[in-house]
Amino acid sequence: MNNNGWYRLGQVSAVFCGGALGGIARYEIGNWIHSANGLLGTSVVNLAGCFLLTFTIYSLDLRFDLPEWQILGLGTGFVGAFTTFSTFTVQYVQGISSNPLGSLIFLLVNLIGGMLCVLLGYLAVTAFGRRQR
Amino acid sequence: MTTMIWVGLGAGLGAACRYGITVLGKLVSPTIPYATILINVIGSLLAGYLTGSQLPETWALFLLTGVCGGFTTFSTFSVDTFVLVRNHRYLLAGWYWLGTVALGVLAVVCGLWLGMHS
Repeated sequence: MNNNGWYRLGQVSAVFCGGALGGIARYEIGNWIHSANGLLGTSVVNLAGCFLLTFTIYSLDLRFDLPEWQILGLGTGFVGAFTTFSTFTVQYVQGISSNPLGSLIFLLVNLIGGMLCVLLGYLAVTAFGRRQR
Repeated sequence: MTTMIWVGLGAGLGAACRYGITVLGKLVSPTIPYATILINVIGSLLAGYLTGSQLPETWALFLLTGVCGGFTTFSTFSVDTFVLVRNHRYLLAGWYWLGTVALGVLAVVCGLWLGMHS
């Protein structure tokens, strides 16, 4: 394997390790927040992750000049695996027949709340001083 | 403790696959997040199928909570939408935002059906 190959392998390993930790964190938070069908756990994880990913991409990347593998491990790996789209869609579909209103609220909270948390993360970075290096 | 290891192993594998597909997707189009759409829709289909087929608990933790959960991503989906809005591609942002959800929900319905009838 040439240098580029080793470099790629290092990046994939960083994403794997970050992803494993992110998945475990999501699972533990889901266990910790006992709610009806886990809707609250999924929402909390997704909204927090939206804030964290924006913060990671815009702040840590631009302000601290971290090496690429650390950004990948933290952003793509940890936060990416921490949040989940498949559980979100499965829980929405499973709830439609028994609780249509609750499911719709769940859908809207995640979608709109997610965008607000991204915006919040972005504003936090701006306040944090994005341009200082 | 063992359940945590299964979830972690699955989520790590899922995240690594997602990264690979994202790298390939950037080669196809650096601005439109095709890869994230594909990842979230395929992940939803698989999660629907696995939910419908009533897996034993350990397999469900590894494949559903782990692999599907780590493979799909809600945060990248939201940030992608935000980036499109910031680049003033409002129509595309709207289509991407609502389109991914619509396709994801449809994929789960198909997956559940397939899982329950196999």
